[in-house]
Amino acid sequence: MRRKLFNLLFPIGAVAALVAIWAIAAAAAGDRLILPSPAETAAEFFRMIGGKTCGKFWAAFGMTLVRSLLAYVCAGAAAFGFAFLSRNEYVRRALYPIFSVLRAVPTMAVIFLFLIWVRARWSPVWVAVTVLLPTMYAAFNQAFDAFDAGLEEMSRVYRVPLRVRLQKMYVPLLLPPLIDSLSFLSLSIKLVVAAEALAMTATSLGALLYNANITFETARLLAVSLAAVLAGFVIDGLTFTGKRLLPWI
Amino acid sequence: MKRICKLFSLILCLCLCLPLVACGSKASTTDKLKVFAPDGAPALALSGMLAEDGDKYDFTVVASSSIGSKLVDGSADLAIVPTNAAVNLYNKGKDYRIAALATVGNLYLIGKGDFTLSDLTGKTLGVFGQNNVPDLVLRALLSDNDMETVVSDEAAAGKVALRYFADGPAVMQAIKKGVVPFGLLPEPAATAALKNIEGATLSDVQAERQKITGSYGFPQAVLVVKGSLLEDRKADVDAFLTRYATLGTWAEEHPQEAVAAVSAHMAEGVEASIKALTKETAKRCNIRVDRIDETARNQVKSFMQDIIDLGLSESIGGKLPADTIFYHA
Repeated sequence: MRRKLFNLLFPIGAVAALVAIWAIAAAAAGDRLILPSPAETAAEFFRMIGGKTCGKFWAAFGMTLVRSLLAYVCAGAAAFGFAFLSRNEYVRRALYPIFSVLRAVPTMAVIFLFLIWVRARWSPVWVAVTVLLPTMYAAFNQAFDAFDAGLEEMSRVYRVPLRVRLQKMYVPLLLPPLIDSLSFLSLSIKLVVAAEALAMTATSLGALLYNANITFETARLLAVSLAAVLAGFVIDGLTFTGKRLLPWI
Repeated sequence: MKRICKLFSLILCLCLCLPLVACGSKASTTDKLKVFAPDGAPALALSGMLAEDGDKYDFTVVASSSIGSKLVDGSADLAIVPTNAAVNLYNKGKDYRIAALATVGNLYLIGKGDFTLSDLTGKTLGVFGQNNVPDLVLRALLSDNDMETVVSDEAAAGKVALRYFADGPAVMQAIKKGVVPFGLLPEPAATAALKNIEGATLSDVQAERQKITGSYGFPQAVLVVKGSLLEDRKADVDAFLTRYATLGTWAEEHPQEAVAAVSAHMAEGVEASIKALTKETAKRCNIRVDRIDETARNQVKSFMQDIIDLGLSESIGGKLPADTIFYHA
């Protein structure tokens, strides 16, 4: 019980310490245009999500989540497919340099290129897919590498039905990395928002950030960032819950 | 548990020391005035002083995206800034007063072949600087001509579809590749577009606005001065402003020297965007360095009212500024 209490108190304490540091820094700066206080940011946040113009925020938030989810699903599906094919050694070797390039190419270069090639509405999705793909591919590769080749051969020799193989062998091995990969959705949000700000994508959190920046609305800039951070926390919570439920699945 | 408590106490003690490092030193009345300008055409308004008085003042030309921060953090004594940014910051409590104009508009519409403003209806127009002066001026102009706009990547029947890009070069690329048939560009990028895009022609936004308002151009950028300096160093500020007004047309007479002077005063790590300039291009930048008088004041207020009428008052801090924003000649 004591251990559970400590596990709960430590993260809360850490967040409280961060907020305290922020409040002290804001007081030291003494200028809400440079660094608004946590209270000013919180007020702006609640105004943004519940005020007269909250519809504009929720539309932007929704569209950014849609783009982030789309990028995550596309990158995940492609990474899974490529990782499955990479069980063949020759395919793996052929894909290695391609994914090395994708991993190494600067994110800003990817953003600028897709701004030229694709419409502003979807270029953030392509940017996120390009950055997420190599990382998710590596994660799924690791998962497939964990398969016991002997067990697979035995299941084929004894003609174990595909349904049973999937249920008893493949899914239990693949489910943990799939749940872990949910954390990439937070990264997808981060990438999509950055690309949206540069692409001037209409109805997006990135556009809200850009407009807050050019109108010197620092409190709103932080409030929009807070919204993205909270979305990330929810996703992390889902990942954590998924892992805890795993033994029951 | 004891170790953890000690660690937290140490972190909090370090945090309490933060205010001590926030202390800065007060500027002396004999220090050189710090003058900032954004890279691009507005910096040309200062080019004469950059070339001839570079040792008397501390000039720095910064990336246009960071000029606002020089007023926010108070590091600028004088600065050339977009007019809406100057009004926005004043309305937010930053005491920077508008002392002079810098440019009355360097925006041009680019298209292939001859065209008029009405040809934009039903087409897509590439625009840069969303919610900044270029965008605001364009939308005001189209609204004054009873032309409806919509923010969209696709053309919309009966409306002008505005497609936003990060900057002028991105708009130029989009026109060249045929992504958009028309674009809004600032000088000197507009002249570069005429050379790079086959069959391209220019339409003067300032002249189009003159058909509505009766006067050519609009106060696109202004020179602001820190309010506290008007008490501590009024004579120095007045001397600067007098010199600024006398060298206003210097860039038009010495275009290449103007480019060199701006490049020589770029902030560290920032590359100048203007590499070459001709007399004709410099003239199209519409540099005007008039001190604020009744006419200039009314022009600024009228421009701000246009922005409010568009429903974009947020970009100027929500309201017209008080007359105290102006530092008159």
